[in-house]
Amino acid sequence: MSTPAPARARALDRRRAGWAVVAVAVIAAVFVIPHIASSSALVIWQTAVAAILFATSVNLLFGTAGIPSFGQAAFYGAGAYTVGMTAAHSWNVLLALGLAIAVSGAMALAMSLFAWRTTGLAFAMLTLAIAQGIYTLVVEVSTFGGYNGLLGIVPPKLGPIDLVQPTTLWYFDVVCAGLGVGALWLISRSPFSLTLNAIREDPVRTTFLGINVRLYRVGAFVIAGACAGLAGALFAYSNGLVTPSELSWNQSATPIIMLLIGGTTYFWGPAVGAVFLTWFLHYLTNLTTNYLLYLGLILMAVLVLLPHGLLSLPSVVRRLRSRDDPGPREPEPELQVPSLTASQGGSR
Amino acid sequence: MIVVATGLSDGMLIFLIASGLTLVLGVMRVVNFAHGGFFMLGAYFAYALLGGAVHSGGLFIVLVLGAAILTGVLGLVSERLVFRRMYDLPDVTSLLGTYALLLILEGLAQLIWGLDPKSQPEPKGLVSTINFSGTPIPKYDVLIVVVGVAVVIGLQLLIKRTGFGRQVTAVAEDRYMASLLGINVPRVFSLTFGLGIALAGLGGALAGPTVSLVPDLALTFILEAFAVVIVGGFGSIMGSLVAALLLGLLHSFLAVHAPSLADFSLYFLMAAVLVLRPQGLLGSGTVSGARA
Repeated sequence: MSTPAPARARALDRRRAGWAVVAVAVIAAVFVIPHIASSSALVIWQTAVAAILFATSVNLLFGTAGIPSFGQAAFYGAGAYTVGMTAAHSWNVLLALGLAIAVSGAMALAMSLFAWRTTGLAFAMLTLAIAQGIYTLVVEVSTFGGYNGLLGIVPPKLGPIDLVQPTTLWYFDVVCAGLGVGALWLISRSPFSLTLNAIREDPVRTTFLGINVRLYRVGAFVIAGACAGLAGALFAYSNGLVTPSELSWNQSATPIIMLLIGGTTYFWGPAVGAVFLTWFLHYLTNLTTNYLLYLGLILMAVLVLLPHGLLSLPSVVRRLRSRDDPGPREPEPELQVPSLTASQGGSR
Repeated sequence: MIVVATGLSDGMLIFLIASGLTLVLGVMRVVNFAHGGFFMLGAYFAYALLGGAVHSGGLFIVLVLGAAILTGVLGLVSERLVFRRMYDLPDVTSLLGTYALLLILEGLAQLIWGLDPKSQPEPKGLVSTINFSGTPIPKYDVLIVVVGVAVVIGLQLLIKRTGFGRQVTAVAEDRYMASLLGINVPRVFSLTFGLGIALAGLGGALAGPTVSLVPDLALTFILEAFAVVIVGGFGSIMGSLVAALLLGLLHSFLAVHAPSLADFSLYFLMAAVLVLRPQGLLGSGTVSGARA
């Protein structure tokens, strides 16, 4: 009993219209924000844009491939430190960003060769430990500025364009992060991503299908690491500094919290979570010194009440409303035949 | 000699934390980030019970045990309220759940005791040193090693010699089969979790006099405990013991002979074990391999 064709077409149209409205709103926001935001608020918006890229890249691992990495801060920090170290040279900004991507991608490759000797929870703990080792290394090596990090990072010029001006830097950030997120979006629609889904669901069976599971996992890890590096580099330019805290394990946890708040099953979930959490933390740290308690409580509440994230809110509300509705009810679970549920799932 | 003594007592302290972590991991398949939070609360509970004052050795030990039990009870409560909801969730979600709990515990400690560092003096009679073939060794280090050995023996007896221990082993092996055999799996989970958290509390209470008490303490030891669990092998208590002692000895050896490398002893040990024996020193590799 699939939905009648005209009704389905109407639902599809409504969906498309919804997406169009959201897209127009986001594009409008990109042009409006630099005009209405104060200079300090603009920096936070720039941070949020970097966070969108970071969280979306982490979701390639967690949501798509089921790889529980708790060490993504290593690559985010690597990107930030790379542009920090090159800021003194008057390179083209694209060269610096390219180097940041290359360095963090190479680090991800190196780490994956080590970490993939384990799987599952051991992998999570191992990536965390390796990232923390890199943190310790950076703090102890004086070239990286110790606990103070690198200060006074100014973005180099993009050809004739000077990126020091905050509004210009904002558009540059949006374009760079947009390209990164766009690449991840294309990946999410590709066979590569489908294969990662298969590996997430059952690595053993996927191996039997003749797929090199390890190669795919390493590939996802390197792509996510490179995107995290770009995000870290954008963060360093907009905030003008890098500190070891960009490498700390809280920095690894932040994007995971973001994608959980937004919803890991949606491509745009991490982005929503990133904007929400960046601003939420900004206000919270202004309000109270004990922000850990409230962050923990909010995260716990989301996990328990909305396990599929904020973006699942409409469908949850719809389900609650339809339960109150005296109208056509969903069939009782006992009456559902397996093939029926499968066709319903497919028509969505 | 003093290097060995410091290494052993540091290692034992890490073992106390890691043993609870590996127990919970082996039986319940949950990586508990909040473990460090309970360790930190154990230290604060001991501080609250002892009132930051100097006590006699006997009273100190009783109150430290009291702090461990209090922490364990809190662990039981949080198992009922939080962890029970997470057994059926994907690994990643439950990891994040324990991370949220860690943040909440840290926030609560900050709410109750503030951010100013607190300090708990060592008990009377344990401040001095004893002479061990010419080397003075702090008595407090000896106490930690003795407690650690007692915990190792106690855990081995509990798991190998009691009915409850056999139930724990069965649930760790295959919780579904265990439940078919009539074992009350939720009850085994609760008690194992409570025990693991009590061990974290014991470690925290004992560590109290050797560190300055800040809510951030939750993070200081947990990473070493994680590494010890990986190095020792998932779910293996004896593996954790060996790994923790190795780590303690390596750290104190490097601290004397190559101070700049001491902070990396953790990573040296981990790299070596991963290359030579990825399943951990005494691990069977089943837990880590079972779930990709």
